[in-house]
Amino acid sequence: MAAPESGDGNNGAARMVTLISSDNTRFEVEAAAASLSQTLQLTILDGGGGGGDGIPLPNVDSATLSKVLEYCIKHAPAAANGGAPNATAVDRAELERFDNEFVNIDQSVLYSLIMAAHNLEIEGLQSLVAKKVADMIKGKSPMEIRRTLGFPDPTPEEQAEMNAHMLEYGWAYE
Amino acid sequence: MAMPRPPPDLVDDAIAEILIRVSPDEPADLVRASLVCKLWRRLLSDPAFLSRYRRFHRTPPLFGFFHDVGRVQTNPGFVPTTAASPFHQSALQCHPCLVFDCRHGRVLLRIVGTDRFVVWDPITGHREELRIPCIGDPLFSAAVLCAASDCDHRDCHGGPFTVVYAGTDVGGDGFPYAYVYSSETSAWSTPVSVHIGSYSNIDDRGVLVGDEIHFILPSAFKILKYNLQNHCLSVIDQPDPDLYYESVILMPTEDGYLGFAGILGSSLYLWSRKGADFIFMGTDVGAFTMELKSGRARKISEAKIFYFVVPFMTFCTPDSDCVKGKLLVHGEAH
Repeated sequence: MAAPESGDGNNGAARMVTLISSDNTRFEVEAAAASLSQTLQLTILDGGGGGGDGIPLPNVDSATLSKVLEYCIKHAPAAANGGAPNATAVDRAELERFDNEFVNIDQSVLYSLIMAAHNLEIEGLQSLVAKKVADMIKGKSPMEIRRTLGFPDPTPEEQAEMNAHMLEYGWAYE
Repeated sequence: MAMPRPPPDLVDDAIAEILIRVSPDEPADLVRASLVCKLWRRLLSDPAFLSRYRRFHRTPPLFGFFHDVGRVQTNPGFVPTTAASPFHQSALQCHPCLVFDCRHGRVLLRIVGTDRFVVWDPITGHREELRIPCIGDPLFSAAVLCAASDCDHRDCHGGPFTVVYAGTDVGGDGFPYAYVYSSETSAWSTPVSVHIGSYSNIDDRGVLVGDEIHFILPSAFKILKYNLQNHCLSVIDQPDPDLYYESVILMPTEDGYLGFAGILGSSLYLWSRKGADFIFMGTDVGAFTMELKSGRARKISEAKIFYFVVPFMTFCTPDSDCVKGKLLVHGEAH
């Protein structure tokens, strides 16, 4: 565990903060990475999360948080450069490769990530996971979309409504 | 607790973030998504959300193209470039028409054998006829554009429009001239003309860059420029007239300049162009669109020759009138 340090601890070693998942696992991470979260940024700027305190995240379990932090750590250097306008094509290609791999995950993890990215307000991650789900919708019928995304079977009323709409929008099903 | 959280449990905002990222390239995707459940339907019929959707995607996607098989008495055809399209060929089976231009969601057609233009909005089905200011020109060009101020042209249906007519005074001094029509006054302006030194026909579409519409004057190797603000005509020289003749085109560049393209000694020939980032090509094995950035070509038709091609770029979201698939068949009965 890192020694407690002051809010403006800018002397050599990067400042670390501790995040605590809903199942009480502690994650120590560089403040710069955790600050990708708009929600955490203010707390961290106020000097919170250092040392033994930690920031509790009651809505994020440890499996999800570990995945979220993997994203934040990878993206923190580029974010520190103000969206990395000077990043080389190689750097950008590497981040893109990482992102593609990152969302190649089980659907339940993907949904947990959507919620976590939303709660923690991590813009890049929100956009990444939302795009992944949007791509899963492509070329599918409403029923296929429901099945793919884990909706329960439609009720008879819902089914009737869907059928009526499908008649109305016939061209989209040819 | 790695409980799967299916989308019904996601908050509205997260669903909105997903749906806004569904690509506009295939309009059927958004229509089908709108039938998934009540929440999705509500979002995808909410004008505020759909307006955000169009802003998010910025450039309207290519929806298809109108074409004339030849400049003869026939109906123009529509070739969709999307897998499913709410447009039907029957939409165009009204009067024999020639297609002249398409911009800002409107198609400009000439009703053959009459002195009438039709400005048609395929998304809403709205049609407005106007008189052609000058008949007797064998070859002329005309451009239609949105006239609403503060419009980003992503969704300008139903607002005021402008038509610019550019022709050559064959019976008189042979100089090019232009008229401009305003839908707000339902009237054409007085004509303006410019001295270019030699006669040239105008037969290709105009290219809009900023406040100026450009037309190629092929036999004069010049480019005619009409300024919408000042209502005046001027000419600029075409680059390298000795090298590039016949297969030359104008196009707006991404950074807002006028682009020029020509073909030299290739078996490919350009037969039309347009949009921010692609060109059309007719080849011996069919018609293609080519993305200028990636160089990627996509086959859009088996046909080898189209005389005149006008791309139609638009957002077609579930709130569009045409999406219900009934509009065009009835809307054309004039």
